[in-house]
Amino acid sequence: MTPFWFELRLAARALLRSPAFALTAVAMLAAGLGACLYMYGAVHAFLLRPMPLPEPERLVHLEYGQSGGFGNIEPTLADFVEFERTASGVDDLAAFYRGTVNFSGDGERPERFDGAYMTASGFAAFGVAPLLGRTYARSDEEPGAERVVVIGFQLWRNRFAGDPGVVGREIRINGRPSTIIGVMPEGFRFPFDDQLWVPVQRHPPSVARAQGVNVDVFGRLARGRSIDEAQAALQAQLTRLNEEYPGQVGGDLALVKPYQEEFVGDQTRRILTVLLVATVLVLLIACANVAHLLLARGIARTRDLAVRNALGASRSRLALGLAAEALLIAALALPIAVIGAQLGGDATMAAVRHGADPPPFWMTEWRLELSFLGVAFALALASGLFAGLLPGLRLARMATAQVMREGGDSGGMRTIGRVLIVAEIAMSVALLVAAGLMVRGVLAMQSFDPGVRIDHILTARLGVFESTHPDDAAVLEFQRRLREELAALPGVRSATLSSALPMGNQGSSTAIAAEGQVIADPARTPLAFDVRVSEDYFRTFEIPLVAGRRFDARDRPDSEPVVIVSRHYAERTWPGEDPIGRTLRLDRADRTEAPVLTVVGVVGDVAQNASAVIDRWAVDRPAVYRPLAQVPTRFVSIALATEGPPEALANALRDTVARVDADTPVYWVTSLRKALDDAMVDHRLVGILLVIFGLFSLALAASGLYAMLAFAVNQRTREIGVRRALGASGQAIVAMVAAQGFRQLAIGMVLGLLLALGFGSALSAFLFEVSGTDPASYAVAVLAFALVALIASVLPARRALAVQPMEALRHA
Amino acid sequence: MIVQLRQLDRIHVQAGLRVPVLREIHLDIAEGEFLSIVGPSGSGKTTLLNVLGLMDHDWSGEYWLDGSAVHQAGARQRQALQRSAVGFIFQHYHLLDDLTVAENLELPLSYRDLPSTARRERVQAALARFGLEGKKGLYPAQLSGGQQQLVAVARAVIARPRLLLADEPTGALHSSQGREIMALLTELNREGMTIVQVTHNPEFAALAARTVELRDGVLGAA
Ligand SMILES: Nc1ncnc2c1ncn2[C@@H]1O[C@H](COP(=O)(O)OP(=O)(O)OP(=O)(O)O)[C@@H](O)[C@H]1O
Ligand SMILES: [Mg+2]
Repeated sequence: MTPFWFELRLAARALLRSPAFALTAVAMLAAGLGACLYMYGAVHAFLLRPMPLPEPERLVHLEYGQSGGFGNIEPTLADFVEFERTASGVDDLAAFYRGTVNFSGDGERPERFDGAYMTASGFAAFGVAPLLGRTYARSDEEPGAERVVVIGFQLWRNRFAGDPGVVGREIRINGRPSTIIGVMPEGFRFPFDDQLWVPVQRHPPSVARAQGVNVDVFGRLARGRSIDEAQAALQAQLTRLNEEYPGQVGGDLALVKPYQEEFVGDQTRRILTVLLVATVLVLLIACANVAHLLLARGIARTRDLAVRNALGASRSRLALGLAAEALLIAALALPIAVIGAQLGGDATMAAVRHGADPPPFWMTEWRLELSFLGVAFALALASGLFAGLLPGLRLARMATAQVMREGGDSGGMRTIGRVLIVAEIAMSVALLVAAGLMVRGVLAMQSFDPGVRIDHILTARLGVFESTHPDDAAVLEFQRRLREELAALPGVRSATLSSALPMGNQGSSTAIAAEGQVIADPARTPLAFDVRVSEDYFRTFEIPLVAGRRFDARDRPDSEPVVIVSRHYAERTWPGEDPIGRTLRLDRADRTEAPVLTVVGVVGDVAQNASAVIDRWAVDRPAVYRPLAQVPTRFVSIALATEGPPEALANALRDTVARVDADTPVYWVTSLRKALDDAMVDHRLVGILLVIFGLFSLALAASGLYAMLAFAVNQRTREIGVRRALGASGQAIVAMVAAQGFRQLAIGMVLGLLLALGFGSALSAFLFEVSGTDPASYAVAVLAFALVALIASVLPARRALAVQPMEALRHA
Repeated sequence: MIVQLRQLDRIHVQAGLRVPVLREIHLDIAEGEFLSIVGPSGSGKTTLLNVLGLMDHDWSGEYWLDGSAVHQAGARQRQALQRSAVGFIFQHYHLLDDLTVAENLELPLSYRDLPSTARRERVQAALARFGLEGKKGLYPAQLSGGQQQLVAVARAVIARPRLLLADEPTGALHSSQGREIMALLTELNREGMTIVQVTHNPEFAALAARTVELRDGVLGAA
């Protein structure tokens, strides 16, 4: 038998003989490993897992930046056409934009899908062939071409029961007759999470270049080309474009990046990193604890070790024996950790999928991949070695030293123990601070007053297309009837339509310039949320009227154009003056094309954008409201103020829409409260995770502290007995034990607070109305830790008190 | 009389059995006396010493120490009495490994209300008196057994106890070292300190003015 197996067998026997120790150690390591693996799984899914496409590393995304300004500007379709003409370095240059696709005309209820309006080249760029039929061609994009659509696997299976004869079927897309020409295979839901592909409509040459839609441009790096080369090529094209059309191109810097990075923002990347670091700390704490337990066990067995040494065991052999125990513990903890991480991962991914803005499908699957198991194994091995070799080497040295009568080396042992504890305390305090910050942020977010009623509001969205509602009058008539019928539903107090919901994602912004207002730099004209609303909007959301009037039947398409502004805007723009009757334009201060609007009312401030909740955009950001009647809008949100639970009216709402127009699907039917909760899912998740990790670390550090002190008391039984015999009082003994923990506690806490500052600044972008150095969070973390540490120290101190000097000295 | 024991019984409960260890002990020790306790192993010598040193209070009977009724005293009084009157020497020295010689000496003083200058002076004096000046910075592990016991004796008397209890102080030493320790004890006794020692060594027992013998917990003249 090799020495390793022999030692392993001895270690197994030793663990079996002390099951309490074994269980404690396994549980600690499993908690640390599990947390770490769980986060690694998330990082892997979101950042590392390649897109399920052939050669995903060659897919790149092309965009603009402005020198000295913003990045991530999407080119216009017109710009794309230019790039396409002169493309170099990137194969199959493609463009898409995403939008609502209403699917009907096949005898079933109309349904709304996220669809991609994509160039034909997109299919080639993704490198996936259709399952049935064909994908469309460049010629299908020309104005006037017959309308065709490619559908996704799920849509095909769910709506057409997987009928192979679906190719060639006539259906209606956004009310227009179209032909299904192909079905994509399962798992192809690109560019994002799409189920339908419709050819991009190339603009007729008459459309001004700056007015075209913005598109996402992507493609496949030509073989042998690097991203930098592609970026240089794009830069050359962009520079030429800027020279040719000065002032009409969105940016002057070309950016080419891996397509993968399109899906995960900087913020997500950062928060994942923070969480990963947090779990690594938890694992380190767990390892330190196990090392500490092994150390304590080993010291109690130094006589055995010394005897083995006297019998010829080398120092490394002794260390191996001790490390073998740690490796066994890690091996036992590994499967528990993997299963725990798997369960946690599944639950988390389910929560993320149901959030307001979920990541694409392939990221939210928690799969037990080989790489994951590899990392799990490596982590377990590393933690086993860390937890085992540290005490092992130390103890082995001590044992040999004893045999040689050099005198005790327990000082060095204790130093290691102390350093471990200090590190544990520091890491735990830092994690607790991070958890505290996040909890405060989430609480602030939840108690945040958006300026509108949130409960008892049912919301939904729908849109009508030119095919069924060709002009503004038809759209308005549809919206008028819809609102009337909704308002008449039993249980509905009031009904309203608006271009966007408060705290929703559909809102848009506009420049705003009051007449007579001096704006020094027209390029920096203030921005305002631009909301078009029907009658009863302010009543439904209970937004208070501060001055003037609300919109009513007076506001017609042909009457004077009017606007209602938010209180803060009015106060800032016309301080001390009556805003009613003032005029403004929704455009840059140096332009005069936009119509002049007359202010007829002032209403309370409202957080109009979801970002207001999440990114701390102040509620007092200006908002302007215009009547839908004067600014016809095809896509609107419905809001019903209900008497009872809003969800109870969901079906009545759907039926009403179907009654008014059988071809128009209604979607996103949910209560405002739920929509808001969904918008906060990510934040709450991060908060919950940090709290869990914080509590893990607290429990681990506290038990580490306890174990250290209890062990010290054990070690010092004789000493305590001597001190008692020499006259030490109970108080003196307790003080002695507590003082031992106190130094480590103080140092650990100070280090922990410093570490926490790092967490705080990494989290700060994610904290709602809480600073990364929020003193309350730091204080609470320190107090919580101190309290738990106190309990962890009092118990061993009481044990020290119970030491009977007679007993302690009897068996010296 | 510095010590008066009357009808003192000490019973150990072992596995539910009541085992009498000391039976009806009657013992007077005069101020300044040097007393040896001898007896076979397990006869109760250490137990008796623990009672005398106020380390043990689970006994019945009467114990007067320096005029105070120990049998009526509470824990607090006992501790005060112990601090003021008793010093201990153990067979295994029981020096604290992490403290230097000087620090070991200072330890009992640190448990008594003494200003630090006075403490340092007394430590200095003790180091001088016991010839330990050259060793004051050393740790116990760096001393021989005899030297360690020397430090233990110094530590036992540094707080100037009236009653010095020594449980086989020479038990772990070879004879020449033992003799030195015994000489030291004799000298301390001559200076007026009351000393009670437990010993197996007849030669050393004879150095005391009086010897008593314990047999199965019963005290008799040797
Ligand atoms: N804590 C205890 N529990 C039970 N029995 C005890 C306890 N302490 C001592 N005894 C018993 O009391 C008796 C006297 O013990 P003690 O230590 O006083 O003997 P001793 O005379 O000092 O012996 P030695 O010469 O070996 O030191 C012994 O039988 C011992 O087993
Ligand atoms: Mg004894």
